Amino acid sequence: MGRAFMAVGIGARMINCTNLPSSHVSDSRSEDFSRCAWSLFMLDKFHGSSFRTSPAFPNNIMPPTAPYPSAPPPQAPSGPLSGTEISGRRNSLTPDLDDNGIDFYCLRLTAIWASVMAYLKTIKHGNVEEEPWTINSAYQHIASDMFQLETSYPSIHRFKAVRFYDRSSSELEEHRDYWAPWISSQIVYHSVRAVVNHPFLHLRRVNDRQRLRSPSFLQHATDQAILHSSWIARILQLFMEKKFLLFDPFIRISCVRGCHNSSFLRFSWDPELVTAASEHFKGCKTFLKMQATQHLHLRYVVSAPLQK
Amino acid sequence: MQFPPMLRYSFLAFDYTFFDDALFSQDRAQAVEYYKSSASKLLFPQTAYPTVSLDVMRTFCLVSLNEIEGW
Repeated sequence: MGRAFMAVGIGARMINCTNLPSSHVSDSRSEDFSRCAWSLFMLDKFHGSSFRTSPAFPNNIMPPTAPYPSAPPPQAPSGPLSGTEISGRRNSLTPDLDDNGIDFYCLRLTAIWASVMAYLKTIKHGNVEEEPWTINSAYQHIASDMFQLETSYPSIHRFKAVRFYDRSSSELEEHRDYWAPWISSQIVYHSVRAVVNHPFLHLRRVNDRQRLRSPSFLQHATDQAILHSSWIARILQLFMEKKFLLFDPFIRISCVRGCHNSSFLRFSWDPELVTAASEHFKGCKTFLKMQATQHLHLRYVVSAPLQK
Repeated sequence: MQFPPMLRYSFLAFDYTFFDDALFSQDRAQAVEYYKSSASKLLFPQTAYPTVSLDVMRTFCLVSLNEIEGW
């Protein structure tokens, strides 16, 4: 992994230290530069070359060129809308005039995911973080970023509006340039929520001492963890049914983190929750086992911790 | 289109990692390692230059992804 840290770290910093496409560069070459810059941005944010030192891409700063315009959502299949779908569209607070394309939202979520990983690193290294409910805590910053993203996320990309569940496999394949980042954004969104609210983070002891915790905060975090880990399982189940092949390596990393919630919740006192979490965990394991046949770095994940 | 050696090696390393064919199954790990190190030897000296080329950036992308995803 040291070599990965070095390659991603140097590549990402070179992007920041260099003048990216200027006027003398042709459009097609400029687009190639942009793609490379964003690829290194994602590699840096997901793999975390910046976690140990000062970040290669500081928070809220992205590569200078805009991402290549992404595909619009394909036409939804015809059919009556359900009651919740109609009211959801009518009450939409995010008009689609400001739609920046699904790739843009996917990249923003990736940046938030990096904040979550940095938060986990802080905890892992034994640094005592501020209480999560305090105003300047990392937990609240991440929550704020997520709410900010949600307010600008156009309704046409939302789960009910795109009607992923109604699409045929051939249709998904035909519009892969839209569906691949859409699935990625859905998984990363729910993984961020699931991971920062993981009960273990908030219940664990620090320096062998039990900490005082707000019961309503703990209840809120646990509810969020249950909700979003079940969404991850639901989405994974959907695209296993659709037989949609995934090539994005980072979806699997997010899935592993998100699925850990289901694993943890299997040991709850609530028998209903135990049944649901066991079912979700089983679905996640099936997905990861399928992925591990092609993506070798997952072999350890499916052969060791998730076997338990 | 130009295809300099460092980019070619990094592409081959990535390709061998995921190319599921019996022909390459026996010595795959060694082949991947050979192409990865060949690409890295050519890539890292490029970081000494003040400007970065598209090929260098592309090679960084492939080498990084290969280190994360591969053997």
